[in-house]
Amino acid sequence: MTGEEQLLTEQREATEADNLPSSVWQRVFVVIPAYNEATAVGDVVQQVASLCPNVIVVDDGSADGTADAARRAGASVLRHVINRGQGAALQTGISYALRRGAEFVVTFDSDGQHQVADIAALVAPIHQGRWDISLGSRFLGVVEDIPMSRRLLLKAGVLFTRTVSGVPITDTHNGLRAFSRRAAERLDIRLDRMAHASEIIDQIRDMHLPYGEVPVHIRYTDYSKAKGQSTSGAIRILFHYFFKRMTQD
Amino acid sequence: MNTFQIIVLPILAILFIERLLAVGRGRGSRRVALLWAVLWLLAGVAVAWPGLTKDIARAVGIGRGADLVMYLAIIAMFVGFFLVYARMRRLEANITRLVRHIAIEGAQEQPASDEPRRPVE
Repeated sequence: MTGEEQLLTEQREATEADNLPSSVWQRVFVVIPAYNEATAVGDVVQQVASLCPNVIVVDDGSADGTADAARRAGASVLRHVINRGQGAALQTGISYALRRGAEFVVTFDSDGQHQVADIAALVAPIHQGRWDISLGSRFLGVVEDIPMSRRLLLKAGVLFTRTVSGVPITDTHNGLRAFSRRAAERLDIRLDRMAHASEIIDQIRDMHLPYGEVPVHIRYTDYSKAKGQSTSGAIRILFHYFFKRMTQD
Repeated sequence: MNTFQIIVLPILAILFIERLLAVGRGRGSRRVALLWAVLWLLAGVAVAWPGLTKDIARAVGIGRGADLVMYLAIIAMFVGFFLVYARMRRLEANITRLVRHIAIEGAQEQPASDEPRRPVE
């Protein structure tokens, strides 16, 4: 990494003052990829929709009622007719948000681990023109009930991405991010499955746009713990990531 | 000429000529057809002059000609596996683009509202 690219950090928690005027909320689009999340996605959509009128759920070929639950809760729903993975679902949602005229695109997980209050903290620095990409970091923020194995796996992921990508961030596998329109337009997620987290970091680095981290609050519920990544999954992700780098397809 | 050569050489010759004609026709991938033509030609040469592979094997420090051919075959299989895997990934990427296109065209937009929705208690 070159000298002029330096990581900016917001060293404080989200506060009420971070809330955005409704004229800004109108231009924020929140993209929520969801796969078999019928039990959780409705609540998540309702919470997000209480702040932001534009909620896009990408149902990634779920076999349960994910799409219906999301629609009832007030989201625009896009449906992948077959499961293509979280990276693919994110790109679908981001492309659609841009088409709808989004000026700020936020990615948000469907399992309820993120806090709606953090969205404003991520969008605010972009709206103020301080940087183009906000990355949520659980290790700058507050983590509740994170299992030790998950913490070690995530720290290994951070170390891996820092080493391979050369980007000095504190949390590389956080689903809560915000992009300015021009940053979202340059994003091109090709890794359909979970390796997209490292791919997004690589692309952010190559955009040469300013970016920063914002502390976010992650809540580990029994539900999100069960849905999370296992160590064997992490090895498969590594393989996908390196194959992409080898072939540049 | 031994029996093995009498049986195998005409088959290899047919395969070689067929691929050579395919290069001439220029349909599909010419490069791949040429690769196969060269491969069948080399196989034919190796069968017709068994001493040749042995000499090459000796020259590079491998005992028998058959061993040399086997090592080369294993390398070729790995290359082939890699190419098939790369093609599979391209196919997957195309499926994703198709699925994305269908999803965006069929988007079910939420009813427009100026006021943000309140959570239902």
